Amino acid sequence: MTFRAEDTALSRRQFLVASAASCALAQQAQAQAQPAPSIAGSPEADPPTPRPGELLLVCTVNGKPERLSIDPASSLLTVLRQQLGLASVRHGCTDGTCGSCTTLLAGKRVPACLVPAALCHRQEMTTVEGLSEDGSLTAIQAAFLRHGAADCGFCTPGQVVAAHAILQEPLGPEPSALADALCGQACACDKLPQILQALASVRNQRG
Amino acid sequence: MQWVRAQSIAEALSHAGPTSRYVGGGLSLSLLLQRGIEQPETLIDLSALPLRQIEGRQGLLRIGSQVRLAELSAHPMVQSLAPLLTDIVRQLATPALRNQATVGGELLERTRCPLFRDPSNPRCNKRTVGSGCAVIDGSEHPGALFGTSASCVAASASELAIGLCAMSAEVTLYSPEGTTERSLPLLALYRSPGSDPSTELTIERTELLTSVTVPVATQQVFGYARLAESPLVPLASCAVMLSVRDQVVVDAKVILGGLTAKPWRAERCEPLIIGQPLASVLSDRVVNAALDGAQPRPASRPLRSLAQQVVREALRRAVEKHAAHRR
Ligand SMILES: Cc1cc2nc3c(=O)[nH]c(=O)nc-3n(C[C@H](O)[C@H](O)[C@H](O)COP(=O)(O)OP(=O)(O)OC[C@H]3O[C@@H](n4cnc5c(N)ncnc54)[C@H](O)[C@@H]3O)c2cc1C
Ligand code: SF4
Ligand code: FES
Ligand code: FES
Ligand code: FES
Ligand code: FES
Repeated sequence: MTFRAEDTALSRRQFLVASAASCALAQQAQAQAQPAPSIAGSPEADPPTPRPGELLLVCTVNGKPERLSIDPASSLLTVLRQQLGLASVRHGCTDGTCGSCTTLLAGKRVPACLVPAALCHRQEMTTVEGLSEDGSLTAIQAAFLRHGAADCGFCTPGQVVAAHAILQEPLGPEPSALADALCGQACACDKLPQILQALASVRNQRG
Repeated sequence: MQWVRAQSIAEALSHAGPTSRYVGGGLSLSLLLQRGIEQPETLIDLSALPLRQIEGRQGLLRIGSQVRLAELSAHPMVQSLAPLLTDIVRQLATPALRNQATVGGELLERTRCPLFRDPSNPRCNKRTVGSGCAVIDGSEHPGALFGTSASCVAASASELAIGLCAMSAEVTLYSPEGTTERSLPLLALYRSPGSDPSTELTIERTELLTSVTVPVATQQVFGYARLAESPLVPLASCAVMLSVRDQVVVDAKVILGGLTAKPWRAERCEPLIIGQPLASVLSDRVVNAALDGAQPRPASRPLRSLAQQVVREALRRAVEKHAAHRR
């Protein structure tokens, strides 16, 4: 990222937290991201003990108990995608800036690309596949459809997981609170305004 | 590579050595591991250790190193006794990162110099002393303005550290050699690169940071300002502490970050404020004194104006807080 001289004439306004739609950096990272391969890796057979040099990971993913042998250096993203075949967790920027890998870990949204999988031992993870218990659309997914909040769909699973989490987070009183909560969720197709509308509509429904 | 799930502080320390790293939230470590920039043999997982509490007693706030940044900013005691920390944390990184990042990891994170983190760049004295520095040799990246050396101009990463240094925080450390804890002012934890930029810290990477202790004095007010290219790319930040009695400043601290090799105490600024009426704090003389010690290179010259802007804004906010306080 190069430094532009104009930035030195920054006004008072730039002391404010930037709004969600303004993150050129993250969107650039998103644009450069490779699309996910359409065929997911096959789920691993239960290893009773870890392979040599590996580590046992016992966890729950989308309500299902898992026992995996993992490389200690693997990210949660790698384990979810390659070992559990969950291709909805996107391989985007892999540096924590785009939000296409957003996953719930112990109920909180985290960037799976930077969380070491080994830290998820005895924890519960949820991806977009696990948000709804009966396979029907969740309120936020329905709102995404209503508001046309997806275009190419690359970022959508991460956005839905993030939106789901945001609906459970305490939100500040400031008008930009919902947009600020989307910080770190980039969309190369410029759908953040629609995502924000979808979020706001579900929030208002719930009062 | 070996992963150790330490069950006690003693067990964590027993695995520490020259090729080990502690794992807090693992975010910044994971990025460096994936890029081959850090290649530890042992990773020591701290998640089972009892270091995730925030306690307040006798004018002190004690924050465990495993407390997540999101937990820190949302904690009622932090919001009421140290709102500066909530203010800082809510502006840094992203909500998802803040859910996972720990206080210890945030304070001890390595630099975010883009060329340090780029495995295709062979010239980085911080990675290999003597290999050169791609930033100094003509990259457009501005590097830092304060505390740099002829071998490395990387800026230190932690914005939380800027606020904690303004609050005169201390850290508690355990080392594998000693059995008792020791404490150190947070500011003394950081070093300038000098001729050996390989570490940003005055402590060994084998030392375990267990908590941060912050004195909370009611007569102090704080101001914080941050300028960023985007929320993820902070450029400059400043935290100011003012202690005011009868409209006169009796104590002050001005700490600069973002464009500094380590949390940078603007020492020349403070004497110009202390003993002066509060009304005279916001002057060009004070703001310009904060630039004392800057070492601009052609690429970092524009940062001078950013430094002035954050200092002025942080001072203004502190003065404003004081006025609001008295109302
Ligand atoms: C995309 C991105 C943007 C960011 N933006 C900002 C920003 O704008 N401002 C900002 O201030 N920060 C920012 N950060 C930093 C972030 O907030 C985290 O603090 C950081 O990633 C490290 O937290 P962690 O707990 O994951 O650390 P880890 O990766 O676990 O640890 C970092 C380092 O500290 C060591 N360590 C961790 N805990 C201890 C301990 N208890 N004792 C001894 N050593 C320890 C580790 O060995 C490692 O070397 C950003 C990070 C990312 C990835
Ligand atoms: S500034 Fe420091 S960290 Fe960055 S490339 Fe140069 S030597 Fe490496
Ligand atoms: S892949 Fe972009 S945040 Fe994880
Ligand atoms: S607004 Fe772009 S990262 Fe937060
Ligand atoms: S990524 Fe655009 S909101 Fe931060
Ligand atoms: S990246 Fe295409 S819908 Fe967001």
